[in-house]
Amino acid sequence: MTTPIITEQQDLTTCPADLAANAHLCLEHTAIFYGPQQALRETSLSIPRKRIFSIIGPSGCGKSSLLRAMNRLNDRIEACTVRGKVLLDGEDVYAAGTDMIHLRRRVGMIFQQPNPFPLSIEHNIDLPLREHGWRSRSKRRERIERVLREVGLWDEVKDRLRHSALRLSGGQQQRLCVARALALDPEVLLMDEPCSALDPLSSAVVEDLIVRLRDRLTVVVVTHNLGQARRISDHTAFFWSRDQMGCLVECNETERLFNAPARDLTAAYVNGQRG
Amino acid sequence: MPPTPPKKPIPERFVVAPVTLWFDRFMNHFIKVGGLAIIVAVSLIFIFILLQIIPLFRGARVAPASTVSIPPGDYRLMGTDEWSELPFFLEQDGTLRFVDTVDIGGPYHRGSFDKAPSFIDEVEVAYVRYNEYQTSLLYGTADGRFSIVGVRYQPTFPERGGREVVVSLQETPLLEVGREGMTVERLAYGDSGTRKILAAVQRVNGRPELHAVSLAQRRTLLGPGELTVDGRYDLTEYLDGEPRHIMIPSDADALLIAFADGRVRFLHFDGRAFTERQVFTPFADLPDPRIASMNFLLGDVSVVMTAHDGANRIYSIFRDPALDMRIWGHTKTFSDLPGAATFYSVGMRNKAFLIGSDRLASLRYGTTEAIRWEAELPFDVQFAALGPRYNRILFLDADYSLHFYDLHDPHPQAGWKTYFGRIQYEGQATAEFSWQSTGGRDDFERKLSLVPLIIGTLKGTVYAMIFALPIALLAALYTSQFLRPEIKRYVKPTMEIMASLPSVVLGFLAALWLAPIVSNAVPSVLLAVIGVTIAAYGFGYAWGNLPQRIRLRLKPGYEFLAFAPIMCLAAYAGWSLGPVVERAFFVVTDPNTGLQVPDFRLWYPTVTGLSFEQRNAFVVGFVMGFAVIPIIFTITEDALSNVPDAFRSGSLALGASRWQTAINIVLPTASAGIFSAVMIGLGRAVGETMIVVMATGNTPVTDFNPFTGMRTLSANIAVELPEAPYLGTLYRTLFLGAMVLFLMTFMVNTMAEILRQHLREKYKAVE
Repeated sequence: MTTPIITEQQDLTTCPADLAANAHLCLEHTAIFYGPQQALRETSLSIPRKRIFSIIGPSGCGKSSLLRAMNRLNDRIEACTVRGKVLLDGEDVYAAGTDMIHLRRRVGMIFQQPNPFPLSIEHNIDLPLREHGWRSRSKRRERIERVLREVGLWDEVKDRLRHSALRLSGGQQQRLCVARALALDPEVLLMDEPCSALDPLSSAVVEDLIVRLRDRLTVVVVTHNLGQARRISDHTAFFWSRDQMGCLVECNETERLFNAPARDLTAAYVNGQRG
Repeated sequence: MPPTPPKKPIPERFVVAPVTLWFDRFMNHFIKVGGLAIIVAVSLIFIFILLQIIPLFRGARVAPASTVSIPPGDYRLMGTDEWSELPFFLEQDGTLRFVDTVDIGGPYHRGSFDKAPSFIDEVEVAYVRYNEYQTSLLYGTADGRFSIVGVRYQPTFPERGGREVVVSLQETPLLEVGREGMTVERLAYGDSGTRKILAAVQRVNGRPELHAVSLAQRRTLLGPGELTVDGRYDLTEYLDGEPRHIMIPSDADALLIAFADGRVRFLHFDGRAFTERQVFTPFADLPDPRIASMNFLLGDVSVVMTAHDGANRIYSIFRDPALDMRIWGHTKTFSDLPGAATFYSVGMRNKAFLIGSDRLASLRYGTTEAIRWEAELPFDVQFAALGPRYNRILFLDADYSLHFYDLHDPHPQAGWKTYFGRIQYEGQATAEFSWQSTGGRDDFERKLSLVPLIIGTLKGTVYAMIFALPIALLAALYTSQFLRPEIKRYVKPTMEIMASLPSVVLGFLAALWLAPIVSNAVPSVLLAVIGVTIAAYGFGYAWGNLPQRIRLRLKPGYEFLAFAPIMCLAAYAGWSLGPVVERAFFVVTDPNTGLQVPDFRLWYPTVTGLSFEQRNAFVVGFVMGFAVIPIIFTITEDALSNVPDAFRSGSLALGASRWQTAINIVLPTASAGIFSAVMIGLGRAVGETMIVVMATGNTPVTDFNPFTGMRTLSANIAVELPEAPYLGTLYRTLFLGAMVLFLMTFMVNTMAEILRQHLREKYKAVE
């Protein structure tokens, strides 16, 4: 593939200045390597506060790696290194001395596969609360009920809180995971293709849930579903992969990115001609 | 069903190769057969073991074999030879009437013939007593003398074939027993080889007198010399009643006198003098305490007594720990006979005895209080004799018919009580669980309780698990959750190599190298263990409180680099502090020199009252732990590593620490696998043989003292099998041990599997 997808830098890949001012998360020359192999080209991005930001692009373009760099979950992979800065409220999460526990509490994450723990529904939310020092049982119960109501699960599960979470349907499990993340009051919620493992109905429910989170916290959604990105997000970043290395092609308000893409590649992708 | 459409030929490109189909079918059946074969093989092993142990729990089988008429007469007693072929009947005048019971009607049948000691023509025989072990008769005469007449049965093998038992009598000269000329009423004789004593009750002017003589027999090159009296004792002072029975055991160190009122007086003979030790009334609790019969069991350590109402008890002599003296005590109680015993015969191979009253005959076993066989006979019994080979029973009825019964009882001692109950063996002061399958004497009785072995098995397992479980589980947790993968690549195979260490090597090391070191330096070893534990906790705490700056010098997963030297240091410090601590706390007086010495080996028994052995459970636990750790480690590590990464990522993404993730998420999810690992380790420890054989000392004790050894079921089988005669009681008992072991592991595994299924259901991972 020899398409000159990126000829000039920066102008199109950074967010508009007014958004950058409101940025919650900022990537500055962030590059990701797996061993000697570079997975993501140097990227700079601003993610606005309390908005929904979606990342689209074909498989292997470094979307998920980028997402995992934001809460340093990449650290678990031995060979993975991140260069550049990932600024959360202006502080580099890769700075020495970052308290990982604190970081991950501020930046929650939802995975592609719903991953409730093999515990009861109640315990799934209770456990992280306890791990973060919530001593009072009544407060924990209160919080559990609140977040389950927020994700619309309370009425469905209130009578079987002690049942295994693994008996829930896929959509319910994913909403439970969201509730679990919300219970810790994160500022940012990272979502790695949250609906791709769900059936269309469940998917719609979770999508609605994400929309409801707008104005409350910053949501970064990686998705393959262009329609979803268009429906829910305020801003969209489009990544493409070349020579097995991901790079940011275009980043803009969702409406403009889909309706008036600045690049031909973007246009081809969002119109379904490429990808 | 819809009508089958006509078969269209399958286009050739869709035809499956016949080899593929054939192979598929073949493998299908092959696997089925293989699986079934395993089930069948295990069942067959189970059935085989079961068949081996079933005879242990059967009673004796007794069946009438033949009847021989003997010449009528007024007989005093009946005796028989080893093969029960040539029994004799003692007539009133002291003549022995032998009756050939073999080949009746045949050309070589000898019919019945008489033999008599030479003196019976001169003096009147007043009393005769028969000793079945020595086949000797004790004659007492009306003029106050005695003679010991041996009945010597000699098997000969005549040219016509078969066996013919030839009999001869050997008599000692008549010797004075006490009061010259006074009738001998009762006699008792004991001969230990080096010491011989004989006691007699004589009637003097209507009053009984008790006299005893000690006898000496000079041995010459030409055989035993003349029997002479070398000491005389007048024991009449001890007669404060009418003596009914007197008895002297074969050790010739005691004299028992039973009085008409039911008391028994026990006089001890130390070689020079008789001293009174004890007076007891065996049936004191009964309305009629009189003793009807009183006879020794094999070994002459126990006396079988019956009361007039049929109560049947055994009194044995044992060392009373309070008095520190050997006294007689009530040890066994049997079910009542219908009345006083009218016949008795003792087993010459085991502690069985045949006792009966009128028509009821009962074969009982002294050790286990078991009734091996009991039957109402169709005739009145005059005399009964248990064949010396424990294969026949002879009854003489009132019509002078001699009834032969075949006795088949290969395992008279066996039974639930023997294997699983407390039994007071002869010489023991209390009922205990004891295992002692071989002894120094011919009349030694095997002690076959499996309880010490079961306890030993549990003890070995418990100590091994105490050592192995924490190490193996924590090591697996650390390796799978915290250690860097590139190091883990080396750690795991290394541990697996450890598993392949032959246990004989471990046992060898434990017995010859480790046990002496540990026993010389118990405080050091304990302190090293404690030191490492404290260092581990201390390091963890300190590390957690160190500023980030220092902690970040080590990548997560490399913390052990900082910890290892500290741990070695702690172990070394503990080890070197050992002697200091020993000098400070474990000082004790050396019983040999009287000096104050710091020695844990001496200190431990004096303070705790428990014993200290070099080969002990502590060492075995340590070494067997080594055998078990790699197994538990490997399986646990696999189980932990197989926890879906999604759970771990999910937990970490929620801001849980590595430790919280490991403990709260990974451990419960892997619990079923970890449980299997522990159970497999447990199974290995229970069945482990070589290490325990070599390193435990194989003492069948019933305590959980860490400083004594043990004997496990598996080690017991290994140790005793060479000494167990094919199909003998011990042989089958070892199979019973195998069965118990089998059932133990079977139960543990079944319970473990149920629990494992439960855990797996509870923490079922996402499929």
